[in-house]
Amino acid sequence: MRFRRLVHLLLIGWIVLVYGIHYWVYYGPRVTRFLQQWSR
Amino acid sequence: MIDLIWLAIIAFIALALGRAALAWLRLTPDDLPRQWVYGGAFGLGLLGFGVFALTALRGLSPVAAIGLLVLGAAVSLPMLIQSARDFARGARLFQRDQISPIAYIGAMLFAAHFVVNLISCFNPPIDLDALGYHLTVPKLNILHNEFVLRPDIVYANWPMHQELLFQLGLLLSSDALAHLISFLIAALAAGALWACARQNFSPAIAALAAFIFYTIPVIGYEASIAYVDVGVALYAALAWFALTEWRSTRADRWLALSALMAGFAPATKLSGAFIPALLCFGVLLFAPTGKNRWKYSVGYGVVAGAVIAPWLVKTFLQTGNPVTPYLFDFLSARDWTANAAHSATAMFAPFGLGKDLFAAVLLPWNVTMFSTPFGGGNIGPIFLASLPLFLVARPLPALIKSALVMLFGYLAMWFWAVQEVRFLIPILPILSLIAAYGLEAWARQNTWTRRVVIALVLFTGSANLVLLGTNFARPPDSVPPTKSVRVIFGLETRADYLRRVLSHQPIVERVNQLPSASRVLLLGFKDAYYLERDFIGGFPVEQPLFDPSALPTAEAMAQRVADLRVTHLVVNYNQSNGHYWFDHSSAPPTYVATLEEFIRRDLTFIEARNGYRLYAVR
Repeated sequence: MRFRRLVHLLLIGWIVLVYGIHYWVYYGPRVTRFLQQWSR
Repeated sequence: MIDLIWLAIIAFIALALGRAALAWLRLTPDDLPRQWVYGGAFGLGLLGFGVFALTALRGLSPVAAIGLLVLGAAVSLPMLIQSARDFARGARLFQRDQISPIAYIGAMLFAAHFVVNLISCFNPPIDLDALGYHLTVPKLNILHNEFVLRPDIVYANWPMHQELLFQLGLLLSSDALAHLISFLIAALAAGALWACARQNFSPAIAALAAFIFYTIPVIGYEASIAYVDVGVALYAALAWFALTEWRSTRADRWLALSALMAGFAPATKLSGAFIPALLCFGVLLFAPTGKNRWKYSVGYGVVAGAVIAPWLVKTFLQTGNPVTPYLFDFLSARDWTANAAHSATAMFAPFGLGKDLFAAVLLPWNVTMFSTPFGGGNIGPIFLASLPLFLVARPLPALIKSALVMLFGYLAMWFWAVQEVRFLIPILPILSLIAAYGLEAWARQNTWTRRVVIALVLFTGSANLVLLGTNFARPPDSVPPTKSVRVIFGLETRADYLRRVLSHQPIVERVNQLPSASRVLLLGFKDAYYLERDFIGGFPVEQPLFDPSALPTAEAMAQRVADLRVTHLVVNYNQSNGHYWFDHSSAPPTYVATLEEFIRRDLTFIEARNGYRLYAVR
């Protein structure tokens, strides 16, 4: 049971990692550019 | 608005025609949703053959196009009436599937993608390959009322079944109708995935697979422009599902249906030849043991080959080689040289991040995180994220195992041949099904995993919707250029918009002011859709007519230009990765100095706009 829970937690960790990096790669530059334009 | 009416007419006639043809061939699937998706896809293919016949018989005119639709409606009249009645039955079918509140949110997100894609269709064409050939070749076909022989547009030698549907759109109305046909095909692909998955899995998995597929950013990008990869995906998915149906039912009509659909994949785009090749192998795997195995596989190949045969015959009659400029060393090809053929066929090789074992292992990560080395295009994070879910989704049903075999077979071919994200699109319906199965299996583990999966799917849909929206908010000079709500709703003229977002548009407008008998040689850009003058196009590495690397001196270049009866040149003096666009090669430039000497010696400078220089031949 504990092992199963660990597997689920690892899967969630993996998903968060993949989503975090992917959207940072695609959205990051656009968000940064938007913030730079906005702060000017 | 008129384009939407045309779209409805084309869609409805294609549906009835396809269903009638399937009934005539005794290939009709048992349930209504699959009758619609197989019928729709087959009908669009048949309409494509109708336009093929009009083009081959030099009968291209708006009246003939309307005549084609009337003929299609007339031969399928009973099915037309039947299909109208089925609308009501179809609506009831939806009500039978249980819909939870969360599914409603998902449906809303799906609908939002659908609406954004629909609206985007009314943006004028701006994408490189659409302006280079997907729309340019149909426009030239209509202009010359025949299949044009264009050695300078290498793609014009390859099968263009979906481009013929764009051609129907251009004949009947405008490029917006061509975009709407792309939109229809993308929606049909999502519908096909839903209808076929529903038959083999739960309604939840079917809906999830269609949702995942339709909200992939690269599908959203292609669903409203004149590109054809989603068409290959539609036929690939239908062919694969029909083959698995044959495996479980052993009814030969499914095998025949699969072969027909597989044939339309390469007819849509030559690279779709991977699909019948893989599925012929699949037939061998799935066939009952015995001597007949090879017969099944060969028969499958013959039927698929019959679908693509008109295209191969057409190019053979034009150039003497059905797959010009491929196989040049064996078959040669009219107007082509060995040097030009080799460089034109090698142009896909540089994509990707290597072809070794290490690159193969890292491929899922690389293709998810870095789009630029793979030619741009984003498949979203959900496939990589759901990859390890198969740890908890075992035991796998036979259909998912067969989907995985198809996936790995396709990926292997893609990996060795051309690592461009757009060429992955044909396998994305099957990949979406695999991901949906994994996610659903994990969701069934406990309450928490269920919540995580729901959050994940809804987040993906929302984030990709925002990403779809950013197609309207790209910075100036971006590739692809930004779309504009203002031009779509008529608040900005088409000319002003194009001048604003396409860097080559000012020089194109200048060329369009030249005397009407002018013939322009384009060096370093191929987006010729808006050109109104005769042209010889493109990138030196993609065409044989003016191959600077085969012209060693300025005199030879001048002679070649005279032989081609060229009156003007446009040279793209912008740079990319340290190379001029007219020297779009990975090798060190060998001919730049010679070309510049030729320009100084034989040409008169007229005007430069945005780095594109227009010269007149002295």
